[in-house]
Amino acid sequence: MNALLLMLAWLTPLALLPLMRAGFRSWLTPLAALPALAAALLIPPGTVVEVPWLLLGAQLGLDAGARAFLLFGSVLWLIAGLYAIFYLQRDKHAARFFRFFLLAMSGNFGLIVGQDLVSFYLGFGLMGLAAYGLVVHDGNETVRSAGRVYLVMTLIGELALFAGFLLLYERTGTLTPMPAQIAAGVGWVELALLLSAFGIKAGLIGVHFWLPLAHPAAPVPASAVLSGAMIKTALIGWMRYLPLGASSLPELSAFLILAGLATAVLAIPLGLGQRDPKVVLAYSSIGKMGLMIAGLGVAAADPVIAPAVIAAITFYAAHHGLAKGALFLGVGVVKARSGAWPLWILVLPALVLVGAPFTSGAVAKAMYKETLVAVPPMWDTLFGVVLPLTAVGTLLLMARFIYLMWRAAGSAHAMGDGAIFSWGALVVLSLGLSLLHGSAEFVLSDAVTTLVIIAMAWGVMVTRPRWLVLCVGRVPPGDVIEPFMSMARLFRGGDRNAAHREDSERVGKLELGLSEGVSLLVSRLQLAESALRRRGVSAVIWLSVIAVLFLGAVSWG
Amino acid sequence: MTLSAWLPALIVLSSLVPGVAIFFLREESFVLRTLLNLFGALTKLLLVGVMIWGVFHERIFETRWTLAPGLDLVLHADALSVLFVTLSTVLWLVTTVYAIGYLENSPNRSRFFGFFSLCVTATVGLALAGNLLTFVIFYEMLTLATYPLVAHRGTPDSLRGARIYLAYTVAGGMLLLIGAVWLRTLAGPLEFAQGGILRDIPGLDPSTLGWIFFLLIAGLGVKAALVPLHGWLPQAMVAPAPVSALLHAVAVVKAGAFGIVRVVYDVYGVEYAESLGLLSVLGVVAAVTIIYGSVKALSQDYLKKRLAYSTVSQVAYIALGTTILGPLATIGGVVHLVHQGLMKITLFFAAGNYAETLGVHKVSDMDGVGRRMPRTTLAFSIGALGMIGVPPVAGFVTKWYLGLGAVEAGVGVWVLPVLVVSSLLNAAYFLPILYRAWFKEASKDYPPAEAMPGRGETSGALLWPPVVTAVLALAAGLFAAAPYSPLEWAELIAAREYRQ
Repeated sequence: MNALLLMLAWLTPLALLPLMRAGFRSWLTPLAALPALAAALLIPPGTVVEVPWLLLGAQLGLDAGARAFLLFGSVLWLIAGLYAIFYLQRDKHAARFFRFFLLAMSGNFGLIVGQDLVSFYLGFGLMGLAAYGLVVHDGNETVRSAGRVYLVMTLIGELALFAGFLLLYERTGTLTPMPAQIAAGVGWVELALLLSAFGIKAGLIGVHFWLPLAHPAAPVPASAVLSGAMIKTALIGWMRYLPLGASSLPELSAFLILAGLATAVLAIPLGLGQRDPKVVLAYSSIGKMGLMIAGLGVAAADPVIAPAVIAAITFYAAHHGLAKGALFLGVGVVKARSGAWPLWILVLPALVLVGAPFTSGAVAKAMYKETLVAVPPMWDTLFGVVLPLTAVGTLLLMARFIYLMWRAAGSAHAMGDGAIFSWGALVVLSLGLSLLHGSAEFVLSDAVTTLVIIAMAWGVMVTRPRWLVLCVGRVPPGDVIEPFMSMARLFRGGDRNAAHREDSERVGKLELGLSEGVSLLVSRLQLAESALRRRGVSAVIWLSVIAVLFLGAVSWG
Repeated sequence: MTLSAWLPALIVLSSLVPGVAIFFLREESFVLRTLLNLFGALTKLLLVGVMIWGVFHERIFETRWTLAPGLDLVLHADALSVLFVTLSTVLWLVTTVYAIGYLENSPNRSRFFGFFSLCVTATVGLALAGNLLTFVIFYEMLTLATYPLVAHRGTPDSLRGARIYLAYTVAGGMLLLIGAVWLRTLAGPLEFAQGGILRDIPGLDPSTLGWIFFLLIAGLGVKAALVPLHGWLPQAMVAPAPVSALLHAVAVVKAGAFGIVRVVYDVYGVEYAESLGLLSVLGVVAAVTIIYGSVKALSQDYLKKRLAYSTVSQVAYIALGTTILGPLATIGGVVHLVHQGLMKITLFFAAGNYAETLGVHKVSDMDGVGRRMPRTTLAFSIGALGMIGVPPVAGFVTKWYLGLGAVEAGVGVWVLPVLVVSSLLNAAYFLPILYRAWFKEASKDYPPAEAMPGRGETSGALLWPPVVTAVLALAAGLFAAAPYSPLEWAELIAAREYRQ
C-alpha cells in the first residue's frame, strides 16, 4: 500500500500527460497532486521501499522532513493547478502549459519521495527543465530572454549536481548516503559542487539573478509553484546531502550564514527598486531563502541542535511556500478585478509573510528565533542586527508590492470565478498553518512590534512610496545580469540597422574572417558600452556594491 | 554438427541469404521482397535470442572454417559480441520497416535492399568475428556493401559523398589490414580472448606493438570518426534517411568503435595496453573528438549534418570509456554502444520524417513542427535529451558510469570537465531545436495530416520506428538495473573482462 502510494505520488502527473491535448481535460490537472497529498498524510515517516529494477536501483520513502515538504508542496500544486484551469481558460496554448506543469509537478514530488541520488537527480532535472516550458509560455521577447537565462543557469546547476552526486557516490559507495557517511567522505570539491548546484536553485546572492527574471515571466499559477515549491527543493537537497547533524563544520557554517544573511539583506533594496509587482515578490522570495540558508548554517555549526533547526526551517519553508503562493495567485486576481476587495484580501498573505500575530508567519518567526539561542557567539551580533533589518525590509517590500498592485488593479483580462475560490483557499491555509502547529499564542511584545510595523506600512502607503524608489534607485529585474543581457541583445543584432543584423547572422554561422570579426567585435563593444551608459548604470553600481559587501564579509568572517 | 557450432553461422546467413535473393527480384515484386526482408530480420532475432540465453549461461558457440593451415575463419559468441549482435539485429528489423515506408515508389529498391542486407550481414559478421583476420574480412565487406547505399540516389551530390566515404574507409581498411597482418606474423593467430592475448606471448617488442596499435586504431578510427579522421561522416549525410540511421547507429561508425573495444580489450588487454602507455594517447584523442564534434555541431543548419557531428562526438564516448582502466569505465563505454545506437537512430528516423513528410531539412525551418508531428517530435526530444544526458533516458547511465570510472581511475580531474562541457554543448545544439519545434509558430503551411495515408502525422511505417526506438532508449535508462538491460549486460562483459 505504502509502496503503491509512493509510486503513484510522482507517476500520476506523468500518467495524465497524454490526456492534455484538447483543453477540456485540463480539469484533471489538480487531481494529479492528490496521490502525493495522500502519501504525505497517510504514510508513516520513516517508510522505505526498495525498487531495485528502477533506474540504478531506486529507493522511495518519506522521512519526517520530506513528509512536510511533500505536504505543503502537494497542497500548493493542487491549488495552483485548480487556479490555472480558470486563469488559462482562453489561452490557445493551455494544453502545452498543463503538460509542462504536470512534468514539473512529477519532478518535484519525485525528488521528495526518491531517496537515492539518481531518483533525486531525475526529479530535480525533470522539474528544472520542465519549468522552462512554464517560464517561456507567453512567448514574447522578454519572456524568451528570461527563459534563456533560466535555462542556462538551470543546466549549470544540474551539471554541478551531476558531478557532485557522482563524487558523493564514489566517496561513500552508496546511492543513499547517510549524514555520517557524507561527513566522513566529502571534501571541499563535493561541498562546493553541492553548494553551487542548490545555491542556483535557491537564489543565493551572486547566482540569484535568474530568479527575478524567470518567476515573474511565467503565468501567475506557475510563478506560485516556482516561488512557493520549486526553489524550496534546494533546501531539501542541502538537508539531505550536506553532513548536517553528523559533525561540526565551522567553515561550511560560516559560509552558509554569511551568504544567507547577505542574500536576505541585499534582496531588500534590489526588490524595492522594482516596478513590476511580481518582480518585487521574486526578490522577497530570494530574501526569505537567504534567511533559511543562514538557518542551515546554524545547523551546520552544531550537530546537537541540527534536528531542531532543520525542523524550524522546514516549518518556515512551509509557511513561506503557502504565503508566497497566495501572494502570486493574488496578483492574477487583483489584476483581473477592478473592485477594492481583492486588494484587501491580498493584504492578508502579505501580513503573514511579515509575521503578524496569530498567523503562521508569527509562529515561523518564533521558531526561527528559538533556534538562534544556540547560535555560536561569534554570529550572535550579526543575527541581532540582520534579523530586525530583514523584518523591516520584508514589510517595506510588501508595502511596495501592495502599492504597485493597487495601481495595477483591473488592468488585465478577466478570468473565471473558480480562480478566486482557489486563491481564497490558499490565503486561508497560509493564515491557518499556525493552527496545525498548535502554538499560536499571542505574544504581547510581538503585538506591539507588529502594530508599529503596520503603522509604518500605513505611512509608506499613504505617502505613495516614491521616496523609497528614490532612495534605492531603479533596479532592472535581474540586477547584475542586466548589463550582460543588454550586451547580448546588441550582439545578437537587437539594433535596427540592417547591416548589423546581417553581420550578426554571419557571426552566428561562423562565416566571418578573422580581421572582419575583430573589427565587428570592437564596433559592437562600443555600442554595448554606450548602451550600458544609458540603460544599466544602476545595475553596474549594484554589481560593485555587492562585490564590495561580499569581499568585506569574507575578510571579516 | 550441433547447434552450438552452427548458430553463429546461421545468424550471419539469416541476412546474407535473403540479401542475395533480393538482388534477383524484379522491382515490382514488393510483397515477396518485404516478406524476405522481414523473414530474415525475424529469424535473426529468434536466433539471437537463443544465443543471448546461451552466452548468459556460459555456453560456447563457435563456427570454425579452416581456409588454409593456420588461417581460420572463426565466428565466436562472447558477451561483447552478443551485445553488438543484439543491437544490430533489433535495429535492423526496425530500420527495415522504416526503409520500406521511406522508399515507397522510389526506383532501384531491389538493389537497395540487397545491399542493405549485405551491410547488416557484414556488421553481424564482424560482431561475431572470433579472430582479427575474420574481423578484417567483414570490416572490408562492410565498406563495400555500404558504398552503394550512400550513393543510392545517384545525384552528383550523393556520388560525391559516397566517393569521399569510399576514399576514407578504403584507406582506413588498408591501415587495419597492414596492422593485422603485421601482428599476425609476430604473435600467431590472434584469437580474441577476454583479458587480451599479447601479454602472454613472450618476446614482443613494446615499441613495435605501439606502432601496430597505432595502425589498428587509425584504421578503426576512420570508421569510428575520431578526429582528425572524421571528414567523411558529415559528407555521407547525403544518403537516404534509413541508411544514415543505420550508418550512425549500428553499422559503420559503431563497427569502428566496436573494433577499438575489441583491439584494446581482447587483443592487447586493457591492462597490458595501459602498461605500454597506449591508452592515454587514445584517451586524449577521444576527449578532443568529443569536444570538437560538439563545437562543430553548434553551427550546422542542416539537421542531418548537425546530427552527424553529434555522432562524431558521442561515439568518442565509447573510445573514451575503453581507454580508462577499471570495470566502471568499461561498463560506461560498452553500454554506450547500445545507448548511442538507440538514441541516434531515433534522431535520424525523426529527421527523415521531417524531410519526407514536411520537406524540412534545415533546423531553421523547423518552427512549429512539434504541433504538426507531435509523436515524431516527442521521439526526437527523447533522443536529444538522452544525448545531453538528462535522466531517465539512456545517455545518463553512460555518463554516470564513465564519470564514476574516471574518478575511480584517478583521471576524474580532466574527464569530468570533458563530460560536463560536452553535456553543455549538447544542450546548446539540441535545446534550440526543441524550442523551435515545440514553442514557435509554424512559419509556413505544412501539408495537412488529413492528406496522409491513415490520416496520421505521417505514414505508419515512418512513424512507428522512431517511436519504438525512443521507447527503448527511455526504457534502457529507466530500467537500467533490471535484468537483461544493456547495463546489466555491460556489467557482465566488464566482470568477465576483469576476471583474471
